[in-house]
Amino acid sequence: MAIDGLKSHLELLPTEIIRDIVDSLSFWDITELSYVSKRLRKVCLPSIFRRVKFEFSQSGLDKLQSLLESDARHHVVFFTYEAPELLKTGILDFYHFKSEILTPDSYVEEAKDLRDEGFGYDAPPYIDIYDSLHSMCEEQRGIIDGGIDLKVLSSTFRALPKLTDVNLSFRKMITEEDWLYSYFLGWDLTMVEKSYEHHIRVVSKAIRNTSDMGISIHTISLSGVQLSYYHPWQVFDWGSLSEILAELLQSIRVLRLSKSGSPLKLLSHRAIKLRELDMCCLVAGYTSLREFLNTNKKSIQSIGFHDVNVKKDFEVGLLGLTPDVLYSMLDAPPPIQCRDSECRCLPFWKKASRLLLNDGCSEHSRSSAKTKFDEV
Amino acid sequence: MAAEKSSIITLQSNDGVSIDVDRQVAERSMLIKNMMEDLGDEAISTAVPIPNVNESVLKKVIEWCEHHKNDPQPAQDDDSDSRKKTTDIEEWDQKFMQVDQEMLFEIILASNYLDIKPLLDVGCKTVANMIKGKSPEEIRKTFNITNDFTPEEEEQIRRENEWAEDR
Repeated sequence: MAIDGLKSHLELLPTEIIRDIVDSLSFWDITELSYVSKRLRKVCLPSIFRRVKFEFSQSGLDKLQSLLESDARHHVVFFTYEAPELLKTGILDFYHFKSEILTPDSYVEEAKDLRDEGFGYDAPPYIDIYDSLHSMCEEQRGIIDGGIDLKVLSSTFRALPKLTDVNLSFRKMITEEDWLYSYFLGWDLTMVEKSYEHHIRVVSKAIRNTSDMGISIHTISLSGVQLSYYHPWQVFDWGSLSEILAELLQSIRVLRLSKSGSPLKLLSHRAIKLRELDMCCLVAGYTSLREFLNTNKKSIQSIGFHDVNVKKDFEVGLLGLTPDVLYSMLDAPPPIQCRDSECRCLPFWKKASRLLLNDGCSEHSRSSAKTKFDEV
Repeated sequence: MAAEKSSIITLQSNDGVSIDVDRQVAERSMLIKNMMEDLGDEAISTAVPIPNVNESVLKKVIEWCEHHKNDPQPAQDDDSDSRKKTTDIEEWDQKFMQVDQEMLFEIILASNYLDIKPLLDVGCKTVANMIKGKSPEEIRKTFNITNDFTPEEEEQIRRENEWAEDR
């Protein structure tokens, strides 16, 4: 075979062979390779942009706009949207802030605590804290009031032809390294439930806006949805969040929950046409999980899990979830198959468990049986 | 089964050299195996032309098939990630692949043409190992590649690669 002496042998390989080579490289090596030349970059694109991550912030949404103009968009299969908690809108009003949210008295106490814990004498000036929070809050409100997140997400989902998985990942507003961290820790600056509601609603609408595009998003992952346990005398309206969540999952087949026990409670009485439920690293209420599974028994064919604990009502301590615990919840003896499976958040030598329900029913016979059932 | 049918077939490289090979060895190539099945015994009497491969590369490929003649045939759709993500190569194959780059890429192309998946795999893994841990500039040097990006395009790539979720 004649190979042009001036051209690189590697670049002259057929694309599918270079793809084979790329497939055995780590993500890091693939990104390095993508800087080498145009030809190699092109071959690397599907591997690099299979999974992308953007956040709810002005800069995050600006980046998302540029994804729409890039070739990378053709390769996106998994889309992670990182959603921070929303700040209380009262922060925008200084008088409300100083009387209700962070009073000068509590500021002084915090400064003393910081000094006592050895963080030095220079607590940030009160007005600096206010200014930072104010500008963060203003940015969030600007996005929400202008409907920018919905607009950008909608056009994004419509522009990703291969998109099938959307991961909505909730996180704290700021991290431990931020200088404002101790203020977020000690004061109630954010609206947790409102944040869930807003971001879920936006993602849900954006997904529905793709319905005419032939884009088939079939998997939703939720991470970090963990409502704190309320005292019995505190009343919180779970109804609206439950409604919004059920709407999000309307035409979804696979639900993955990671560090998110609350959705099971919120959805425990809702029949959604889920085929697969995956749970990673979470604590769920025993009753919620049992009710959820039994409500959705007809459609669920597969349950995957690892590092899941369940908490029984009125019992201290947690129970590690095992196939046996699931059997007893489902009230169903075998035929249920259980096998090892892989999970993305586990290293390859660790395995998750997967229960296959309705053993022996092939996909086909099952769906025809289901049609018959529906007709009756 | 292959042993009882053991016979010699003749392959002819694109530079006109005939090489006699044990049929069992030659049938590591799915292309040849299928051809044999289609043509039956008549193929055995005439030389099989291999139009894309020259003598030295063909001999090298036959050497590999000879050594691996008793390996189990790879499963048809062995596409699991666990196979793909490792770049471990057994010792004999590593030594076998210690050739100059031109030969390495010729072997890869020949194994692709002759449809010898395990050899193609070894070739790809060898190249992957040459890429591993290197900076873009080092990769260019290793494979004699010209950088055809402008500085602006490189900056653009840097920005775009940040979108990737690299867990």
